[in-house]
Amino acid sequence: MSSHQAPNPLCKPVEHTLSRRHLLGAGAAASAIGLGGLGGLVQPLVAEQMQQKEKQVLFIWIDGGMSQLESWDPKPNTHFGGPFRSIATSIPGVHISELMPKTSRIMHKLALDRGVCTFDNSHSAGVPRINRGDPKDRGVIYPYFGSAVANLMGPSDSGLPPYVWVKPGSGGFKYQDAGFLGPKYGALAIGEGEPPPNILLPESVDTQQNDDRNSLRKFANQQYSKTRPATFSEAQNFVFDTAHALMKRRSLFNEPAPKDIARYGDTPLGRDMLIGRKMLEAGVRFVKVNSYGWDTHGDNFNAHASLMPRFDQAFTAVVEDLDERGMLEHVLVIAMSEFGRTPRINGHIGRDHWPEAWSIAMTGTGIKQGAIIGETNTEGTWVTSEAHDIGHFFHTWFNALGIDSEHTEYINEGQPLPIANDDCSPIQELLA
Amino acid sequence: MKIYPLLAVLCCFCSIQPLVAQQLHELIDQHIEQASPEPFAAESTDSEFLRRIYLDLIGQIPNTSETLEFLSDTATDRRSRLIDKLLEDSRYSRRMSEFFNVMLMERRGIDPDWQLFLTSSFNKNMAWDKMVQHMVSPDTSNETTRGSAYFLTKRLEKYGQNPTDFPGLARDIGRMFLGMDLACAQCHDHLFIDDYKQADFQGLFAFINNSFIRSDTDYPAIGMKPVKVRLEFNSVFEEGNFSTGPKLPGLSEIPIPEFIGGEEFAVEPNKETKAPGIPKFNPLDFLAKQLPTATNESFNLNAANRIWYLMMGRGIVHPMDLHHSDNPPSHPQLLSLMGQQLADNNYDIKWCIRQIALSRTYQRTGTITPSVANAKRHEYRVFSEKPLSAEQLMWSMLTATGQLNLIPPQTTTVGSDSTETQQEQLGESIDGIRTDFLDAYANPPREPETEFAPSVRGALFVLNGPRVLSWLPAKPGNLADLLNKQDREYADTLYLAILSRKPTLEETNYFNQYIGSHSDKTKAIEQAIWALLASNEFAINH
Amino acid sequence: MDIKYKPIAAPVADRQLFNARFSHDGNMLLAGSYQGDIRRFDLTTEENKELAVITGHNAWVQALALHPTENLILSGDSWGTLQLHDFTQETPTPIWAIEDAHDGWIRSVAFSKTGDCFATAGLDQTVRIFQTKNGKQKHELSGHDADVYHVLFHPESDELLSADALGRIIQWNLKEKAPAREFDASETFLAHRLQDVGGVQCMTFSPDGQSLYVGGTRPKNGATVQGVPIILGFSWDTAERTLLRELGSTADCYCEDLKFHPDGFLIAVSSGTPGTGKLQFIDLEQEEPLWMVSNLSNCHAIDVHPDGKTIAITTTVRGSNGNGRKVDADGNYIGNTSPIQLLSPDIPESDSPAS
Repeated sequence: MSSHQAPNPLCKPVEHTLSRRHLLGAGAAASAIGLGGLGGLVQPLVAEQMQQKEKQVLFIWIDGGMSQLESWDPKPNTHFGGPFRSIATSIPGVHISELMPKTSRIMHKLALDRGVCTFDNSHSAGVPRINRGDPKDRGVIYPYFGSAVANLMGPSDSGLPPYVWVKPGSGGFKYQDAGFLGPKYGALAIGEGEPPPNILLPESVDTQQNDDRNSLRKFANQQYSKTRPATFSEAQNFVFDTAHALMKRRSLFNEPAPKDIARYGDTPLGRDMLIGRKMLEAGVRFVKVNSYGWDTHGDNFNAHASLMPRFDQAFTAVVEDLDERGMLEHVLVIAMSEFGRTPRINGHIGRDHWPEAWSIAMTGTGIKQGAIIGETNTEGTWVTSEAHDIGHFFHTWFNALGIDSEHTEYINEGQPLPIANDDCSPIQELLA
Repeated sequence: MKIYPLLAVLCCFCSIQPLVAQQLHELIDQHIEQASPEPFAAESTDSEFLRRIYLDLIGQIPNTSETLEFLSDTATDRRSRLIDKLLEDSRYSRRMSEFFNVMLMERRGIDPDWQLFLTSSFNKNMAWDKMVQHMVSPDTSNETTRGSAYFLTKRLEKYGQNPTDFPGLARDIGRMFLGMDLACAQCHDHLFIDDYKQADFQGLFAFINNSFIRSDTDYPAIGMKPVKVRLEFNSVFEEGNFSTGPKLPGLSEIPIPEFIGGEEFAVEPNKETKAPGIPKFNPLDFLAKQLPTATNESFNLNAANRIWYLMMGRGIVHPMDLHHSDNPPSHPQLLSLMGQQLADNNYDIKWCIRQIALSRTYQRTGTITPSVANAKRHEYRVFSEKPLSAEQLMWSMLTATGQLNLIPPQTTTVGSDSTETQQEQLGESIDGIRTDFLDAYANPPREPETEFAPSVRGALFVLNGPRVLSWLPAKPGNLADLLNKQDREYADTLYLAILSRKPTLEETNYFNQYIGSHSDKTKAIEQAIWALLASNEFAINH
Repeated sequence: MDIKYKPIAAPVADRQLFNARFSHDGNMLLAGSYQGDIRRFDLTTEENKELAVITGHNAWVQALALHPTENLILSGDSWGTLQLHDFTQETPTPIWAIEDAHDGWIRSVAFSKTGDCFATAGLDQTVRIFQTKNGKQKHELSGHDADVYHVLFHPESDELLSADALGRIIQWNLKEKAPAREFDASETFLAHRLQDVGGVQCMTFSPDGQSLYVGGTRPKNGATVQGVPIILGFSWDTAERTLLRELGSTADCYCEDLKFHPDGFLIAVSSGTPGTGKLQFIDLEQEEPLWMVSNLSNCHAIDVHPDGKTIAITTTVRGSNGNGRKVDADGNYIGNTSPIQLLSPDIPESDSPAS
């Protein structure tokens, strides 16, 4: 590379922006006018396996890197162990950080892998890489896990979008997650717990009038469809139907009941986790809940002292809540970051990025409860058991959802693409 | 180009070759129709054509009186007269500015000087090659056109935490003006596209990598540092050191002159005014000469392709920025001849639009019948639906409801300081309305608007947003007012105003019945207006 | 005054250290470590040799205080154990040791004026008072709603102050076991996303006991904390805030310790984004510091030698941060250390004051 030029922002080492097929011109072959093109059609052979319409996912993303040493894999009183103690859990012999007392009591419901070893220690490249399952480079931008599930499993009958992202900050439609699958599989983001703009029927339109006007609209659309191609019209109908589904469910955005706030914690994560549960209950296929602010290069220990209990509360609240509602048997729950944090403690009394040995927790459908696997050495500096990369987890989670991860493929404009890294395989010890 | 009627008559009866060349629109039809043995759909109806040509040429649907005027015109040349009328309409340059702004700037921002450049260029039908010259080599002495620099300067602005995106600017010069996306050829020859070489990217890069945004002007302006050496680059795959001067793909490299140290500037930098110096050698001067020229075939083909896209909704090369051997034009000879003729006609955009509009290909119906049910888009056997831009939706909804007449007349200034939100009073200014429509319908910056991509956001905007809903109730002279004053034949008024056609019998009965028998006629009228505004037929350019 | 100090030594151990303290005779330096012990350096030796460690703790021994008169060291660790040792012993054994003196992290310990009792503060949000002679708890004080970071006795009146992670400072009425007064240092606190950021990092009284000085940061954001280091001054009489002083930029982050020099000026150290450390000598009546070193690396604590000249600044070694697995030549994962910078006045010989 010429020294004059900064790295090409358009050309990231493992991803090039357009698929081979796209570049070769989908135009020569017939390309349907449409919703993100033909991307994402699944091989018909395995389509029936995925008629598991009732399975859903809650994906809790702890952005910035939760410290495994202050959470799932503590090494108290060792060289890099930090100040905190570990506590016993509901599984004899298994200890986690004293900062997660509520979680310790439901440990028997969880599965945990402490032998995670991945290969990116930066946020900007690492976050997308992890979210995409670090697939092999095939010249396409792979979808994030949520878009993948939205595509492979489709929306539920609720009419709500299949992929909802509950997060601080801005809301709106975040199509970038979808990669080559196309914008239809992007995330509808709920920012600060606020509904999308214009979700409320205005006062000037009462329910009867709303019914009337939509009947009229549908009549007009039927007339148009008689002699016009389907694709544009179907896309339009789809967004209006989704808009209505959101309007019908606007109570999802109501101020939550005080007892729910007390249970989940009156914190950004607590409130968003509660919305997440409501979204799952309403039938959203894949809900991602984000918590930001975990990149504790400085003041790591005081930070985790206030961050972890709040995660602890919100996490256990949602797991127990789902369990009580009978939903844990069909909802896959995952909690993770893009990496862990260094054993070495820096001068700002913090820990830096550490993909070398960290932990991922999960529970719910298809997962073996109480499976605590993966080990690190005494000081937490190396994985001593079989190390697992994020590709292994994607295999595992697809299988937990009833999708054969090793034989299912996307067909992206004629190009077959594996749904998970083909050098990895499901972690059988985590599967029920 | 004139037609000699006598010769034309002779041609009909004997097979003498016409002594004059055919018009472009005839050649278009020949090429398109001869390329497929399958049946082609019939001509569009008058109302189909009417709505389509209004949207494509002036960016909005016709109002009721314009609709009635055309639909009652029985002369055989009514369509060509309408085309000519619209090309001279004051709204033509507004439409073209909006379209080219979206195509060239991809929603990066709004700038009044850029806006002025666009509207004044289209007002006087500035040739495309001249427009491109202005964009790559702006003339700061010309107040009307100097905003053309925005094409370059906006792309040099940093966004987020990214460094100055010189590669992105080089890429977009290739995309917009040559139809080549060389993004993946920066670090190596393109992995999949054999035609796109690293040297091509680097040659483009060498034109702009010493440019910068001037900070001494209150209009967009580009500066250039002295260029002293050829650009060196390495490939991540090939061994060796490479270098290039500024060079367009397929054309000759611009030699970089040597200057004695201290003599690089024609005008020295001025420390007091902060005016940067003007170097004696500016690669952009050469880019302006080499790029938009008749001998640059890629330039010609790209220009013709994009004007085709404007009218047909799809490029003959599609995607438009990926022209290469493995993504050839659907009709290569047609594109070549269009490119050639465009160059021969001094890159007259209006001329080219007119020719396309006159063709059978453009005027074909979009309705699907069994014989064209299996038609592929690139065959043009039936006209393809096109999406409406945020601007087209805005002007069309304003027109359909009659709200446009209620807004105080003002110049279409862009970039007002208004920060109105939907919650604030709906002070009706075009700028405020445009902000709402862009929020609801426009893509985020740097996302091309070339595919149909309806959004839930847009649906909610028209369902529940106060803006459009405020246009429904009766106000003096608007659509609801007219309907309220009627006691029958509501469907006619509705359909002519909103969908630019007469209703079918079924539609007539349905809407007349609904409004006529409703206990609250005023409310019923509002729902009916809304339903057609929110309908697929309205949202789609067919 | 024209003040300048120069570095004279930097004893270091194989573990990171907190809060180095001089013994009363100035011959020893003591510091709690990151792994369950207290390190001792013999300053009478040329190489500041390490003596046998004081054991019996776990994890972080952050809370450390020397008895005002006796050669006793009181220490508290992050698992909640308190110990008292005679630090002059060759292999010190505890005079007493209390496990679970707090539930978890003991942040700070401080002796009363006579040393008969001491106060402790911890993550469990309590302040406790103990008898020095036997380690028996006398009082438990509840009132803080957050991690209590610091305790301090007034040098004259022995009134007890405690300060927490939210920037709240309570002066206790020990009879009622209730807050008597409060000082508002909430300037040092920010609730950012899910995190409580900042809080009171250090406290000290002016030598005349008329003013209370508090150090921390004005946080800009959590996660990788950034903020301008600040000193707040309060009137002991009225509890009103009388001073706010910024010590640097947002990269300088925390004012980690404040101590008055016997010559009357205030010493302040700050620790910021990895690698940033400053030492300042401040006359509070003047805008500019009397003397400053800004190229130290992460300064955490100050102590002044009994001779009133040498100062000890506990720091973290340079180059202490970095993502990923840094290994040495043998493939071992490298940890950090805490050089204790010893500095003495840099007086040219011709200017030596007459003794």
